[in-house]
Amino acid sequence: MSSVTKTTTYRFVDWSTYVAVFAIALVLLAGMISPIFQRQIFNERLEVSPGEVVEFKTWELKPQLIGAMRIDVDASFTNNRWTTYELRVLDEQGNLIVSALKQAWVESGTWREGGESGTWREKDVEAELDLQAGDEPETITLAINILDYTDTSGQPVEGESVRFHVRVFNGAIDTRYLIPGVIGTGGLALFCVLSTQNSGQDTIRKFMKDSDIGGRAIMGGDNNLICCRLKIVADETSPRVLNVNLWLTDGYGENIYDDLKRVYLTFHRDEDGDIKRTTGNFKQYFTLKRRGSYGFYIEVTPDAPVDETVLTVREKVQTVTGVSVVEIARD
Amino acid sequence: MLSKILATIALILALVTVGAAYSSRTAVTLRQDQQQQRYWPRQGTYLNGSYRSGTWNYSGNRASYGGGFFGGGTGFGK
Repeated sequence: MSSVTKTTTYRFVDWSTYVAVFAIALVLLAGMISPIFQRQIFNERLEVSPGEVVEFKTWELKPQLIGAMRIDVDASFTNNRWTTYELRVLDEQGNLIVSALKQAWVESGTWREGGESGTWREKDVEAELDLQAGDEPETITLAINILDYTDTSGQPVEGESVRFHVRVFNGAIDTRYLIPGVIGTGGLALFCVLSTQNSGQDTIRKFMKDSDIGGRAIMGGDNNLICCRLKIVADETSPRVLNVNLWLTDGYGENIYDDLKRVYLTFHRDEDGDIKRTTGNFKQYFTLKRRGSYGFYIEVTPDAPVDETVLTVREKVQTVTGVSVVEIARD
Repeated sequence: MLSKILATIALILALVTVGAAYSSRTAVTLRQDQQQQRYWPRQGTYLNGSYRSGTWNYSGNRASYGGGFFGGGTGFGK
């Protein structure tokens, strides 16, 4: 006897896509919780003259698992000046152990283009330096030094000073790595979905310029999901809905399954707004417990508007989500 | 099969990028040679010198990136 069961199954879901989505979530989560680790330990404004070294914070830097110490400096000074300022790290004896430079500038001017004019102001004044301890904790002193302070022609300027807004954080994380992380995992998740949608092997692939189509092949078995797809192309006289009648026959030609489904058509219009053709898609999943020769036959009604049908039956298919399946078991 | 490989790569990529971000490998590690390969400048802040056997080798008082500093904006290259 044969049994026909209609059910929803998750047995053939390819979990790879969900693993990739989990990877995306990991990266996003890492980015979102990164501020938790940050602690501000210094926040003040300093005024420094060219050639003067100003020490502003002494701190014991300990080796730590997560994050680094970040020195964040925002300089402000007179318009149309260029400056090179230096962030210095000194050890307990006063020796220089790190020096980092920032070439900062503030410029403004006017522009004139096609009868319109306006002013512009551009600047690049922020500097950031991340530090972490080596193997041993170390007491360090942070300082700022101005190496150069000139006008826009390169001539040194006397008598002006630069104001710095300095903040120091501990536990700062370099979130720039997370951007390629999100892009990479997102792209891989997309490829996973595409790979799953193209899974399986063709057993029947037939093309007919008619509304009746069919084919026979050997397929089936345990743990083998079969996907039967029909693509319909109809002309502009077609109704909104077509009926697809599907029969399944076994190796002896006996009918083992029979179903009628409605397919809603998509109307494609050309540039003038006239309907040039309509398309519809029918899809049904099966599991055929015993491997053998099976025939798939389809009639589309009404048949007059139907121009082409393409029947594709694939086996060993995997799905992205749970699907409704017809399980046919035949002794 | 292919999708399993892609998913595994995605997971490894996620762990590697999160690990790299959180371990602050781009920060300046005090007294450690081989600094230049890992340092990733933030906001255009470049190292002025390098470590040689644990001591800082100061590059000097003049910023010499490509023949002097010309600033930004439309005055560039004057």
